[in-house]
Amino acid sequence: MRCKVCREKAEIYLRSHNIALCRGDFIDFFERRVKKVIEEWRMLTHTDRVLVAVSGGKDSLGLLHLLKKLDYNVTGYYINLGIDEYSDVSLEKVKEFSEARGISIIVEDLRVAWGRGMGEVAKEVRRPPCSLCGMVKRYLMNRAAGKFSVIATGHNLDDEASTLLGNLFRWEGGYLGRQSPALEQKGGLKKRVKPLSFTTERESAAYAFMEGIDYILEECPLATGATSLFYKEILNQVEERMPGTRSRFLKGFLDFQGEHLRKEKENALRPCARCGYLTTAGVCNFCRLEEKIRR
Amino acid sequence: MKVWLALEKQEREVGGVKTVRQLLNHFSYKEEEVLVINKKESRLLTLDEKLEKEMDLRIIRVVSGG
Repeated sequence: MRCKVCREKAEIYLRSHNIALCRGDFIDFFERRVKKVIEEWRMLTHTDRVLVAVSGGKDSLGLLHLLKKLDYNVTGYYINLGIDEYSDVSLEKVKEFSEARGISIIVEDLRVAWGRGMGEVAKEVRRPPCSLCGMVKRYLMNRAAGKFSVIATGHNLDDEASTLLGNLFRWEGGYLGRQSPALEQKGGLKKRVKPLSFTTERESAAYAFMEGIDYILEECPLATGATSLFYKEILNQVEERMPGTRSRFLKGFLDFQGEHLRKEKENALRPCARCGYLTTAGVCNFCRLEEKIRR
Repeated sequence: MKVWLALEKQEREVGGVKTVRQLLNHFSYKEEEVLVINKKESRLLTLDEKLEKEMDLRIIRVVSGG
């Protein structure tokens, strides 16, 4: 296969775009697309102080690398979830990455606050680890973002499409109304952006590899059997038969959302009675969780 | 040829496959789920790439959960 741009030997073929690209042209293609998304969705400006949530994985480290390359004012934010060896290795990857690139990282350790890691807490409160972890990370990120103007996360197209599929299966009106590549600041909720929303997981992994980013290859042990993985499997099957479906699914939804779900988007978010974090309930999920595990 | 499966942390000896596409079929991987790396040249391989016995390959799974 030859690169569509320069005719050199290709390193990657993108079925949904029907193009093969060499390393240099793929990096250029990837970066231009993310830059376009940042501009079109008015995600970031060069005066913003951006807190980039990193896990040690390909997406978040790739995003931090790219935003730094694009000269944004970035700081990394890592939460040690206390998931045994997995957390130790991922923290090591984040530290090596940030030291090599001169990027400062804020590290928070869940075990310091709670005396135990995410796995133990999920068992105690009998909740699926991934949904609990997501909720806790969103809360802590927002709390840590005090002096920052924007929070950026490495969610990719596969993440967004599988979340959308899950929310549709459950008809989660509130979540469907708020799912967006960019959410403006509202009350105590910082502005949140997902610049990789329209790049696939495979593209993101290829970018990280080609840019020499050493990320954690292991899967989080708590994610085994996660529903989101099942949805991704379904979407990958569909994608194989009908390339580009995942992207059309998300983009089509975002167009539809603008016209039909605006009411849901503006729905009843109000400050938590205890901490002030915006929530649809009287007391937010994070405060209710802390109450349970501190009993 | 030697194939390192990164997620499983296992090395396998694979014979009888001539292209990357056949290699993925051998392990029942879908194209969207993985990247195949030629370790010596540190480069990605496309599905049509011809494989040779002395090649040292890595298959990285790109799907992450949570």
